[in-house]
Amino acid sequence: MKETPFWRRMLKHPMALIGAAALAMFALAALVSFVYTPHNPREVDLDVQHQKPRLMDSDSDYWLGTDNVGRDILSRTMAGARISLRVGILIVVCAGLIGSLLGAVAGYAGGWIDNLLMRILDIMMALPGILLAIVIVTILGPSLQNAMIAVTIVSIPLYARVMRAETLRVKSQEFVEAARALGASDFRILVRAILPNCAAPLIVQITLGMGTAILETAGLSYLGLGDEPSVPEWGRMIAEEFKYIREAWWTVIPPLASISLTTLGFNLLGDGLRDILDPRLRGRS
Amino acid sequence: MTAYILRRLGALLISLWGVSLLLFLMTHLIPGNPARAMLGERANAEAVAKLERELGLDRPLYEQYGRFLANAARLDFGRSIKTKRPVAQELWARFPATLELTMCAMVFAVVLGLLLGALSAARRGGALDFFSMTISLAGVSIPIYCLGLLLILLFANGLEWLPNGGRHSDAYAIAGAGLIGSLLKGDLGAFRDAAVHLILPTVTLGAVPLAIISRMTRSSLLEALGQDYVRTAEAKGLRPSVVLFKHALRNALIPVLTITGLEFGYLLGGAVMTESIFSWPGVGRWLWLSVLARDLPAIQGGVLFVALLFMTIVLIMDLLYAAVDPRIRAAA
Repeated sequence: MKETPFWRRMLKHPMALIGAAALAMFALAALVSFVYTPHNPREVDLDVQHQKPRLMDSDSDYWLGTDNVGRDILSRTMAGARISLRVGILIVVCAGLIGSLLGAVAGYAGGWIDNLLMRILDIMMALPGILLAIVIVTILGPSLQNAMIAVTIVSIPLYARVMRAETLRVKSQEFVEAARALGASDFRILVRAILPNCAAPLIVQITLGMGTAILETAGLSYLGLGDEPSVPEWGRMIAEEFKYIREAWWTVIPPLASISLTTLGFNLLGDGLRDILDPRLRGRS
Repeated sequence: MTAYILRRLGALLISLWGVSLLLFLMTHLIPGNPARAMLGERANAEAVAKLERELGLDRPLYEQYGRFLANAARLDFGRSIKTKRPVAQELWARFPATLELTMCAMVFAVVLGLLLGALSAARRGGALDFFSMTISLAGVSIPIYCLGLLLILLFANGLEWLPNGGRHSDAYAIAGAGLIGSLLKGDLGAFRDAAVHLILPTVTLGAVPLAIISRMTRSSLLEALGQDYVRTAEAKGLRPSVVLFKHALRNALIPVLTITGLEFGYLLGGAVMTESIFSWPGVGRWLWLSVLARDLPAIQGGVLFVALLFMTIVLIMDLLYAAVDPRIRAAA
């Protein structure tokens, strides 16, 4: 029986589509922010502190209002999308690559290599992720780049575990045996036979991990372990404006909604991809 | 079972040793001299060297680690650079507040999560299923600090129904109070005040575990409802609620139990965020303030304490899991 193409299965999955649409909106905002933002996201103007959004004050020049030093919140939220998406992509690419490599080697080699690698990862997982990330940023010094490094390190065990489990499953299959019988080297078997067959769960993990990465990095920024306040990073924007929540509550809503919607988008898309790519889950809710 | 318990205990000790080594090496890479940090930037070199000798910082790294490990085994983590008080004393003073918050968040998450998950599975595809799954999806998607801030914005600043932070009002600022403390003292006013202060932090901290537990309960229960023994129970004419709660849910609870244990770890990590948002005087907020102050002994002691707590809880859950499911013992 001919299998339904991936895109057609995707179109039949409303939740995955909603997630993809939310992410497309933020990706578009991020792209547009390279060439256009209504105002300069970093420009301070103390004459227009805490201006109300146009929805609350029709005379306002600012669609989403201004922050405590008069910077345009819409422009900062758009520039923030650029930062957050970059953060998410870089973290999952780095953590995914290192984690998958470690997991694949551990699963394929077995024996003491597997034991050693897995025990090291177990130790990393024995600490709640955010705590380990906080310790790492403390060591490296607070900055967005160091927050990203911390979240990357914390995320590695997750990808390694997924990849190891998949490698163990795939390596006992007949086509791997066949490759070995034909004299293929371990490296060739790993790269050509095993890795491509482990892609589906890894794609799902990467999609779900993107949301978590953005969330955790923004969390570190919120705790004051990210970049300096002028950088339009969503977590930092919330932390800066929370002090004025009584008099200017509207200033925290855009970054807050952006983080939540982006994470929701990645979660919906990840869940959808799991349903679509995993043959065991097809047809189940 | 004894062999299994001993094996798991051994694994816990090895993990704990690994965490202590990781933590020691990591914190010793922090730029700056801890002795200078304790004495202040204006301290002269002689005084710094003297303190370094006193603290053993002039000794080789392996010797420092040996002493750190021996002290940590006695729960002696040295003195905080910021407050000059023993770290263990600071931890114990704040631990009841964190324990109270995490326990309340866990009870909130487990009770509501099981209920929502069971109702969703029983009414699969219906409005209730959609509603509860939307709540759980929102729970895992909204960052903990965003949810906390939204709740403060709505219930504390907007509606003014609940306080926006702290463990009690100024009128009830009695040392060692809290929910249990005030109850033991028979002070109902203080109890009510403590309970009201707990609501928003509990909901914030419990939201993610609630979402995960309800999703897990739903999928596990759906699987159990398709089993032959459920069909047999239904064929015997048992009431649907009896089939659901007495037969299917009991079997579906095993994976939920494991997840619940792991979620404790999340709660301990999440407590750093929640406590900082709500100015909750617990271990998490103290740890965060120690990080900002680069208080080395406090960070080491605090993180090791949380790791020990987390691993102990996971161990207890594993043992419970093995006690209810003999297959786990056999596999191990």
